[in-house]
Amino acid sequence: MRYIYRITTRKLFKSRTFWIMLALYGFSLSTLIFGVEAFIRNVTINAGNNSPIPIPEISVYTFPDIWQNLSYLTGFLKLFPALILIIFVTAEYSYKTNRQHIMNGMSRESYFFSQLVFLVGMALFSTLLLVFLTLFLGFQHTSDISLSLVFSKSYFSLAYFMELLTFLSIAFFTAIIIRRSGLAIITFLLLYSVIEPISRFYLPEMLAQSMPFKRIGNLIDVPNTSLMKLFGVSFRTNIDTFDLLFVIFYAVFFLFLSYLLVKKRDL
Amino acid sequence: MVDESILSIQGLSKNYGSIKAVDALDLEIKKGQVFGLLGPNGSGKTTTLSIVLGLIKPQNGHFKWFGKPVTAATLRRIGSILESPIFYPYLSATDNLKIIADIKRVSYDSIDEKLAMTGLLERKNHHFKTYSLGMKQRLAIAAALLGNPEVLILDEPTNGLDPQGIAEIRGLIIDIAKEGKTIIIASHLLDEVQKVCSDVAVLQNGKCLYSGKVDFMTGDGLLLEVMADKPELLIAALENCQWATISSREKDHFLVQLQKDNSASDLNRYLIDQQVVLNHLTTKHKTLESHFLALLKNKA
Repeated sequence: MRYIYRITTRKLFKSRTFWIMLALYGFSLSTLIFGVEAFIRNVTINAGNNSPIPIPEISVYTFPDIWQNLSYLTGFLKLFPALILIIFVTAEYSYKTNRQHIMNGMSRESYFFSQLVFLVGMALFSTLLLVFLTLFLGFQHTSDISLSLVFSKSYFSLAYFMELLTFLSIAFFTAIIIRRSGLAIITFLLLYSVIEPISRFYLPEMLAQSMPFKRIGNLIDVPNTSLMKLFGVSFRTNIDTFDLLFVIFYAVFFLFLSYLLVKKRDL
Repeated sequence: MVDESILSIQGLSKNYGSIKAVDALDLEIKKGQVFGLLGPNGSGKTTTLSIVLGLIKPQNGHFKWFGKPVTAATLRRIGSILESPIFYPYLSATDNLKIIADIKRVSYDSIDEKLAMTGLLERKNHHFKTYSLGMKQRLAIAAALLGNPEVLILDEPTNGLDPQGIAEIRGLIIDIAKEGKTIIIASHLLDEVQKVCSDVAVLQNGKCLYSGKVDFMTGDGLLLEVMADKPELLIAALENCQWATISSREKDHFLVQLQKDNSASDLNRYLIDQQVVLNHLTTKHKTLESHFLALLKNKA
């Protein structure tokens, strides 16, 4: 198995494109996370001027709510890792290196596994970045720190990991079935932002609520910011088990389909 | 041990819609052979190799490597190049070969040796995309040689190369063959097969037209081009001749293959005895090409 990690990391880490895309992602994520407080404060100040009651000032960055806040926020950028994944998975088809690997004696199972390593690696990288930023900002903005407080809602980062993993599994499946990068990216974007949302209108409620991207989006609900408290809106502050089961099911489902394609298809 | 089977193909078929890319093909490749798969473009050479390398699945028939069905472990004993050289363009030669060494589960130690052998050592840290076609082709051979495979598969190894590049690659193949490796070369170039191979199978439309020794195919005997005033008499006379056969006919031109010990004057004398008078008799250059074309014509 070690040789599969070596192959996968050599392919990626020696690619300048990979590092540039990763850096762009890290930069965008950090900007979003560091900037959100200022953005919200700006909005609430303006709202506060016209508000008859004072708006409570709650930082987005305090433990334990920061876990949900930042996990939710990071979810906005999940297209980034998905695009990186699609680009590198389809590149194997356009370079035909996938064929060469099989000819050279890599089993199709190992080939699938090497791509899976990449997929899980991307999800892990994104989650660890989130955890790091959460801990960094959380410790800076929380005055009373106790261990139980710090980690009490850390399961949100695990939920984010699942959210991204499933999202990437669908992207992976799209890449494997379409094989051409441009077409795969367009198809994935259409599925995500047009086809599924529109089809939900025509489907029965139960089914519409269970579509893959819908469930993925539901996993981490909108955090209750100070602004929302003002309007008396309240969202879920926990992870719904049903959502989680669906998301896990979808990840397994799309990965299994991808596996079958890699295993069976002529190259 | 000389007759040890390397690759045995039986009744292999692959269709793409109504096109029969490979059609009930039988082949037997033995240890130590330099085996040429010869055929025009689209005759099923690459499809056949893709099947035996586990890339595509045949509709019918089966094949065995070293007497066993193909597995990833089997493929690690084979070094192969299919169509064009395939590498990561943004990686150096060394990094590309390291990936292949990892797949073949061999150490990185022999990489420099293979690069030196193919004359790429000085460029080993340059990106693959900066290589010329000849260098790419040589790197592909270096890659195929990693892990000292028992069998080499080379698909059109000199395709697109200039004369110097062609000579280099052929020299390399001949050197490798001397080490006793079994080599399978697919080519549409007759003279390539003639120069390099010991055995040959001629393919057309996925069928095998001829399979045997290259020597036998080119024949040690003379090849003559003859014309007679009365072609039908010529045909009749040659049908009864033990040591001369008509290998092809183009209008009134006949190509006649003689056996080893017979000369052009033998044929002339024999035909005069048979009351056949030739009006044209030339010795043809013995090439695989004439046989190849004759084969294609006869069986088409």
